[in-house]
Amino acid sequence: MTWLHQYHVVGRMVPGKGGSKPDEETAVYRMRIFAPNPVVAKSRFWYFLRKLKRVKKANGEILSVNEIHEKNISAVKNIGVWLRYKSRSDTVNMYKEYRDVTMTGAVEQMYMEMSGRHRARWSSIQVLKVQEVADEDVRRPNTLQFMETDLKFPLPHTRPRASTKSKRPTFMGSRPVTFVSN
Amino acid sequence: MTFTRFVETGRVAIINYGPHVNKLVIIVDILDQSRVLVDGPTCGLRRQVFNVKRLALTSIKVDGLERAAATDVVKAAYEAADVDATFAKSGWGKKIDSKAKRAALDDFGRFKVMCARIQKGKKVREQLEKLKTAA
Repeated sequence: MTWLHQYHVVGRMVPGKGGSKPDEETAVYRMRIFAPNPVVAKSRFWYFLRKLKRVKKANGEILSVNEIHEKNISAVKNIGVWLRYKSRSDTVNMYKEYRDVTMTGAVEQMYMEMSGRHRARWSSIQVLKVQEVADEDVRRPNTLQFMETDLKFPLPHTRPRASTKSKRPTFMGSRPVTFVSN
Repeated sequence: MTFTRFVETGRVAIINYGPHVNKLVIIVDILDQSRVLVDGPTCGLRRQVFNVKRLALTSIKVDGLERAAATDVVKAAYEAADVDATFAKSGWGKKIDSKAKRAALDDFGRFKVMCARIQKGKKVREQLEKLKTAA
């Protein structure tokens, strides 16, 4: 289910390359990157770094790639995602909020939503910042409505489902009853 | 027609799909309209996110639980409310139990069930004849 991971990537320009002196201590940069694997994480690191600083992969080196495993994955949080994406006509900045137990989960939700609502793919989206948002700082009505203390709602439409995929019928004798009123 | 079963804190639900099928869980928090955080105090399921598509709501609700209460608090309330026994007594619980028992039977067991069903049908027919002649 989860296809994204959070990586901590550290890299720098190799001393002696790209105009730096051999004995120079070049600046070390680190980033939190959401990617499906470390290879993509490193690639995204160089993509962002060459936009932000005059360092590119040809003259640089990766010092470390570590996966960040989130703590307390059993509490629901409001997570804000700041992003930038290239639409068909323009580049757009966005702020989105999700409720999830992990930041990775929120970013996954974001990619799904961007693909559905805006037809934006992985290649046209840049995740700028992901941060937990305190209850009082939540902005979006959709997030707010799920924060009510006595929240409750019925399930007016449910599909009866076989307990495993192997027991799923190919053909049914009758249409399923989807509405259960009790 | 009003609803009586809601997705809410303290609502007991039964898992209807996947490896944990027929386990009883309790809703402890709500993420959004399709996903909830559940705890399985007696079935040994640790706190995790479940899609409501994989849950069926029962009529049982454990009262007095706050949203996102700690696991031990939830467990104490769940056990105090005697949820497992209440569900086992309900029609739904009995049906799950009998289905499990039938599935676990060996060949001789199935044969005994067949004999018992024949006997039962015989008795029903006898009673029906009696009522017919009396009428």
